[in-house]
Amino acid sequence: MSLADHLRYLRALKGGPHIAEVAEAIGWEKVADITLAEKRYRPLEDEALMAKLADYYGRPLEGFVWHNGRSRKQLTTYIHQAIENETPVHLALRHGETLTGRPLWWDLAAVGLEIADGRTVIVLRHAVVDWGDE
Amino acid sequence: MAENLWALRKKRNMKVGQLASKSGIPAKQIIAYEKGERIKVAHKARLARALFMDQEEIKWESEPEQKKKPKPKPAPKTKPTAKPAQKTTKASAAPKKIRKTPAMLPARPTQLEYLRNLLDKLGIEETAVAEEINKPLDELNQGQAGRLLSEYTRQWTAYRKAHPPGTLGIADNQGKRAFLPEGIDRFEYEYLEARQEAGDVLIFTLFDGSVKHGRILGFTPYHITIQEENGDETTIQRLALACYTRAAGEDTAETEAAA
Repeated sequence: MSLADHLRYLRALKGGPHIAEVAEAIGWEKVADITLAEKRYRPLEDEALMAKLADYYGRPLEGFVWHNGRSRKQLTTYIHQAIENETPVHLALRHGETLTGRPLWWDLAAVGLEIADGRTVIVLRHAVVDWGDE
Repeated sequence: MAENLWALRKKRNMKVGQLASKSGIPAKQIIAYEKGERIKVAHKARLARALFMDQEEIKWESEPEQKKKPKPKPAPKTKPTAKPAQKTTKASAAPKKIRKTPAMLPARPTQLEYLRNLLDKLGIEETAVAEEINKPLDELNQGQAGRLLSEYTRQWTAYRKAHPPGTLGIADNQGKRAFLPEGIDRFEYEYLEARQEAGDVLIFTLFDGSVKHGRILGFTPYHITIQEENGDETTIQRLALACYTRAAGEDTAETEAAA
């Protein structure tokens, strides 16, 4: 799961405070920075912001760094290459299940995965915690 | 109260092209709808989704927008026959701002970077170019750099055409924008639309591992509303959703139909 998705998830868990409230709470002047941090497709490069957000959500910074290394772009590349090479993908989801299947398509929000029994499972990209080797 | 499509689009500060890209409907078709053509059922749902509103808020047939008439151009002033003598005062004699032309400005660093990159790709020595133009690249002005960039870009395009991917000594996927669909969520939208129309029972797995079964009643970019087997209507936040699929029996039916 990318840091952007993780941040959205944590904000929802916290009761969905407005981005501006988050900015005020962590003493960050540019609200847009936090908005962008939740929208980014690539890793966040501002370590100070990352540390403040980790502190605000009461999570260890190492966890944020781990998520930052799994950007949406990287997941896209992984799935895109699997479609081109016709190889299966392994997606570990937030609720603990790992799905293995042949990706049929992907888009902004989801991935269409054909699993072993022939059914198509729609996996929400924001639920994919990790991917790669089984 | 339903409104005209063009009015709703403008309320969202969107251009036709942006709406076309978000909805997946050709811009030409959107223009036709805005001029009064009746919107197709499937397109209305897409437009509503792209505009983040309910379908009922969009008129089936928009009234064409009344364009403001352009103001008539003022009549050209007639030149006075004799030029009145002008007194030049210190205040009015302020020096005119001289607009710098590209030939007067040094080449931008990005221009030089692109240029060097192109020369490198074409296998042309920088010194050879410098000899030809009688000065080092760093002394180029913007105009000269622009002309050289155009020239070498043309050469590079011709070279690419003559050498299909894989023969250039670079990876095949370099220079491709392979991942564009990331800006569009049409696949999932089409899937949901098809399942809704077919009335299929879907199994939704949420982040906490809980599972819900039901038929889709409606969906937006942020929610999916389902009717559960006991008749209850439930709206699922998409952020809380991990994955979903059709119930096994439903899938079998589709497989058989496809066969």
